[in-house]
Amino acid sequence: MMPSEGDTFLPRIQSVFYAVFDLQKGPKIVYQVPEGLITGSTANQNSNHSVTSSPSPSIAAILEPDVTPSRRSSSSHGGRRASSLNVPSPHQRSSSSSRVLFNFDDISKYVIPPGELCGRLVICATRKYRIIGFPVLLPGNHYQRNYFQYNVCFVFERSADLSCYEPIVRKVSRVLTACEEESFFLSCPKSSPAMHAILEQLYEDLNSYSETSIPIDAFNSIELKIFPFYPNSPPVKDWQVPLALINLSKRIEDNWDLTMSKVCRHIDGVNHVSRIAHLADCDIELTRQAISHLLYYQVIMTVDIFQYSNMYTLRKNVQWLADECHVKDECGPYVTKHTPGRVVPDWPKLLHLYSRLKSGKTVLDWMETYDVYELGIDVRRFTSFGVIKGFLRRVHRWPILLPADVPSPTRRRKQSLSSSASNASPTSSSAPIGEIPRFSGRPDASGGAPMPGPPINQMEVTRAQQRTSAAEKVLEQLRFKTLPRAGPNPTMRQPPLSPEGPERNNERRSRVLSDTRRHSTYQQPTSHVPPSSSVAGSQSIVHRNSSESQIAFPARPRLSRSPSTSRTRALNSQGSSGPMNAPPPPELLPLLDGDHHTDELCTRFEVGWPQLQQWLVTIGGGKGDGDGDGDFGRVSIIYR
Amino acid sequence: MAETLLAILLVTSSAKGPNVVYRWPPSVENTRPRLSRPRPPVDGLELDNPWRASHYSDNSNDLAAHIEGSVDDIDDYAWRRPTESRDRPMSFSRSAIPASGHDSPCNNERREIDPVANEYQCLFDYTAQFLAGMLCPQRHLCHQKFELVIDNLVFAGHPVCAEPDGMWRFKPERYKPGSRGRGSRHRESNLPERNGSEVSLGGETHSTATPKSSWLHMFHLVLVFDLPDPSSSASGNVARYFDTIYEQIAFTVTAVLFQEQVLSNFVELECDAIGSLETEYMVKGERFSDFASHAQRVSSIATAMKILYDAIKSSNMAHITLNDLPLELQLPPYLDHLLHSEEEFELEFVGRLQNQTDSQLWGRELSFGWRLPALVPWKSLLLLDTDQELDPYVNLRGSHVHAEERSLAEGLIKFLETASVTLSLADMASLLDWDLHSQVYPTVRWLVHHRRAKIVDTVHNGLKTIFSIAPKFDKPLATLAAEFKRDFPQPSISPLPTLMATISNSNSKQADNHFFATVVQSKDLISLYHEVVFWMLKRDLLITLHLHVRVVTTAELKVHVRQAHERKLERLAGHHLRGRRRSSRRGDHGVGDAHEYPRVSMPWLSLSPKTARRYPRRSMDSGQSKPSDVSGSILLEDAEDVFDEISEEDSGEENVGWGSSEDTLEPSMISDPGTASPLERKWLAAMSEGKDEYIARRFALINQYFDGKRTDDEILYTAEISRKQLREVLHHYEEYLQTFLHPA
Repeated sequence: MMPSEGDTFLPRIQSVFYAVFDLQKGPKIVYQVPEGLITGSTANQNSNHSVTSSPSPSIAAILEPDVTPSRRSSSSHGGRRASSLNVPSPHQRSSSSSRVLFNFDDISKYVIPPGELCGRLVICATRKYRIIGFPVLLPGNHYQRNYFQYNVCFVFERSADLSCYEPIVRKVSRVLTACEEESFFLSCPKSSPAMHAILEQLYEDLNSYSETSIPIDAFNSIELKIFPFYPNSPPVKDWQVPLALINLSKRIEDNWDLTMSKVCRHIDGVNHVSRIAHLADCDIELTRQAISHLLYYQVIMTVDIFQYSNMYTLRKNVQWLADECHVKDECGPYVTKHTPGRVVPDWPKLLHLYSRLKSGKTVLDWMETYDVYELGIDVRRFTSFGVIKGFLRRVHRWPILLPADVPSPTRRRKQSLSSSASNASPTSSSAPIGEIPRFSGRPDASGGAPMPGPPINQMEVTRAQQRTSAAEKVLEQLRFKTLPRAGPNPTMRQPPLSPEGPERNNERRSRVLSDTRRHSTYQQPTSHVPPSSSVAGSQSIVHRNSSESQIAFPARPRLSRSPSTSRTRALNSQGSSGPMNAPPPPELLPLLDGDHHTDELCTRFEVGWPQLQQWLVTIGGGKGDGDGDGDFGRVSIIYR
Repeated sequence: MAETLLAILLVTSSAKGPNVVYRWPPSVENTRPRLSRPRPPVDGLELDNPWRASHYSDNSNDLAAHIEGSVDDIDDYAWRRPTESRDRPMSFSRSAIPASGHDSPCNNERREIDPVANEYQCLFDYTAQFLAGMLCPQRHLCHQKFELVIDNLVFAGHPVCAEPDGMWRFKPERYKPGSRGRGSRHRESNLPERNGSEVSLGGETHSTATPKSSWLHMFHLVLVFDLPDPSSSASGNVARYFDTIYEQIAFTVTAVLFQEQVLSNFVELECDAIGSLETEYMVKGERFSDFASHAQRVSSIATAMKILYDAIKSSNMAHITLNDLPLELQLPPYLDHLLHSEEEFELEFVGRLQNQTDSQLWGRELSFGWRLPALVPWKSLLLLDTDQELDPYVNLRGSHVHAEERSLAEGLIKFLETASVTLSLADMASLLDWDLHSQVYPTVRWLVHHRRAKIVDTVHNGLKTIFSIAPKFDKPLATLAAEFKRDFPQPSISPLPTLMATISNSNSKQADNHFFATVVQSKDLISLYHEVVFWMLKRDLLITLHLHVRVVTTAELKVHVRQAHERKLERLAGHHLRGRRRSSRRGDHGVGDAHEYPRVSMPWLSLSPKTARRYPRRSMDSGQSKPSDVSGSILLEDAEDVFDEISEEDSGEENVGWGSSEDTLEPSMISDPGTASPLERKWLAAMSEGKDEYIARRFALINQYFDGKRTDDEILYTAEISRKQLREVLHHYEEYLQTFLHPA
């Protein structure tokens, strides 16, 4: 599960010591490993050093000579432990050096503190070191002072991050306390020398292997493993798309959590969280937890849902990242479809394309303007590459419903319309032209690249799209999906055309184009979606394909309570009855406050952007056409 | 703001033992001890399913009992998840009866029955006496950073003590023999200097200590924090967080207190005053909170502690006065972000840390946790609204200003009046006739540090600046919209959401995407919209987009340069045949796979080493011919004359690097034209062929800035050209230049 973590970033134990409250001398260090690093008038070193030179079985041997060796060897680490303890440890040799960490007297009141601090994790600091310990006070009539007090402390550099050692320190104290309570392991002079070997093993093993297993007696052993502390991942949102950074499927094991292994199978960089929950047939909350878990271990990252209606913009990082080899060398091979005979576009070309992704311009518009099809670029990979590398950022749509009393700014709308006429004309008139090579240039295009008629101007396109009934659109979508996609590499194919003549095709195509332009290719066949899953899946959220979603709408009767809504709907419906004209859900209205973006709304209401767009037009009472996303009337859409 | 701050304590030690002299707030909510890893939610689902299967019984109560039994005893001892902990009431300063007195016995043996007396003695579940003892370290640990963590409570401070003879005096300075002197004490208190871990307070080596020894042995201003959940931030951030608070607050205040104690026995006198007041109140049986508020009137330390606490919690500047010594303290505004895992948006600031020069210009104090844009001459100053009492004008015009400072004050007033978002700092300096680095920057730094101004991108006077909308707002849009409507009721100005929608939509256009063209549209409204832009910039709603330029060497250009070079070689070879062969072999040498294709089978000229290298690759894929090769042979005919001139100028022809890995025919970027390689310089020179001389000269002058990192503002400032001249270059060199529009 966890990526192989190097132990290097775990703080290194400088010293580990065992201190008690001595009846005569007060707080004193009984044993420390390595020796002599902590000085102090009371820190007399116990003369019983012979223990250290004896091999590891000494711990058990001292205590209970009849302990069966089988128990010890059953420990998975048994062999290594023994050898590691037999080797004369370097710290013993270096103990003669004059390096002294600090004076014990300075900190003794935090190591053997008054009773109030016992049973609490205490970290104190000297100038250069931090000392973490868990002072324990055990009351008992059999003790001379009616209590026994001890502490096992670990010493680190002052700057060390000790969060991963907190559980270690607690557990060591817990086990030793249990031993003391059961058999006076610590207070009995016969067994207490074993503490030195325990300290030594703690020091060696935790520093070298980040884990240890120290058998103490027949019933107790110290089993420790240090887990590095990762920061908690931010909360997982339903509209996020997890993207694996390692090969997850290779890691799945039988004993994994069932939800996790089910969820992992659907992590492909395309499915978003709520869709994964649906595909894996898992509870949405459990799915979120599973994703969150993977995020925590940094084996996945999240990107946005890819749609042709998305917008992206460059981040400031591009100024540095564009020169980085890991960006400019990897980009071309990653984003290009591997078709024989296709030349991978060079980095200046790709960078130019990135620089033309702008807020307010959908990916589809951008593709048409810059002939992206021609270059053999997989657009989903193209955008996600930028997002992953961190120089591209998704621009979300944040719809906000303006109060009704505000008169719609006529001046502005007029302006925007007039500017759209001048501004959008290059794109719109070039759009059909831009489309031509996309179909004709393809070797597998049917009918030997039929050229459409004269370029359709903006007005005709608009009218054409208005004539297209919603039902017809649905049919078209269904047809696209049901047609099998042949070939080992399902590239960006032309929408499968009806089996009619080329003339009919042309006409239909122009309509499809106008549709896709406006609705950001709900039905655009894409290369990256596995053939089994629907294209619309990237948009229609839970439903496997749009046909399901279309059926789902009438099944959910919604009463339009807002009078304005029904009025505008009547104005806009124009008699066409189709699923796309389902009334907007009343819960949508309060969410239009400019603080919820459309990905969130789409996931929440389980619809795609075209449907939401329709709803917003209905709610706002706009005309639905115009530049950009169109005229939404009282609904303003902020791109940010 | 430091959301984790719980309390500020003043702890002293004397012959009578340690004592908590004063604390603020009067009552502190108990924070429960907890484990540093969140426990999984116990809803039955998380239980060990094999265990449940093997212990299955019809009596479901068994299971429930098991769950409860296993959870109850440790429930109090778990971290709350960050989201839950936010729900905790944060009203630390409530003056009602503290719950601690009743439901959590602080110390069973010593606990008083009297709840009022308990208020005085109980602190964080401990007795004040005990805690004071823990917070007065050994003499060895004084005069250095103190840190103690007990479960979830962090105590941080800088304890200082008297000399062993009971005298308070400055410690001899160890690192700087030249004393800083008393004259610098105001400054010193604002800018603590740390020499490694060894910190020396005060500057004087000679004994200015108070003559009589005092009862006060040690005092320690302690900040108490709720230890942040370590799992909510990256490793090491929590330590940096406490370090910053220590440096900015604890150390600074202690430095001033220590100095005043040495000079005038200030701390001891204040402690006497507070101590006698406390005794008085305890005897009378009055509430601790009453004592705490009364103490504000008798002690400036008590007042300072309260102001400090309130300011830190509310993320404001603290203006405190200690012994008539004014002190301004604050924490970096983005400090608390260290404690939370970074959101994507915040990655924008990562690059900033890499830039050393920026942080140097801002100085050490402003370099961390402030997220300031670079302090550069082509940016502008935006003055923020300030409280009336802190209005610099009031201070500057006040009667207390000395006559000799009058001119300085007037200069500052002029500076403030001149500052504008449409005026770059460089222009401001020339307008005021101030030196940019020695006069303008320090003033800017002071204003920014005191949160009276911020640095923004210069806005075009006619509002022809391209904006985009910030990805994140501090407040909900509805609130912002209401404020906007209040401030701009004019009918000619659309509501804020509409305005933002228009601005954000404008970016998609290639031309006329600036604010004037998309929003203002009428010259009459410019001044009104200046206010709008100003309003939005103040709230960080707008991001200025900048033009960045990169140089692309196209395949055609490279072929062109290559062919010219080969022509020249050939001509040389006409004279020295042997020389030609040598240089052609040199060329081959750098290319590995050229050997696979025997040179004899190809005409030498049509297949240079590089094209030979391309040949096998192309044959592997489609076999299509690249347009560059075709055009290359066409270019061959007419290019030679020009290129002979250019390459002959170049005396170091041998060092150009023909045949090196750089010498490909693929289009590429010149990542830093300012330090272009000889080959890149040849390409740059070739771009100017056939261009007017003045344009070519200007291009040669400014192409060093076309590295994709400099903004248009920077280029205009550094190259001292006008926007029109830049546009001209961009137009003439269109095919070789790529433009980018993104935040700087």
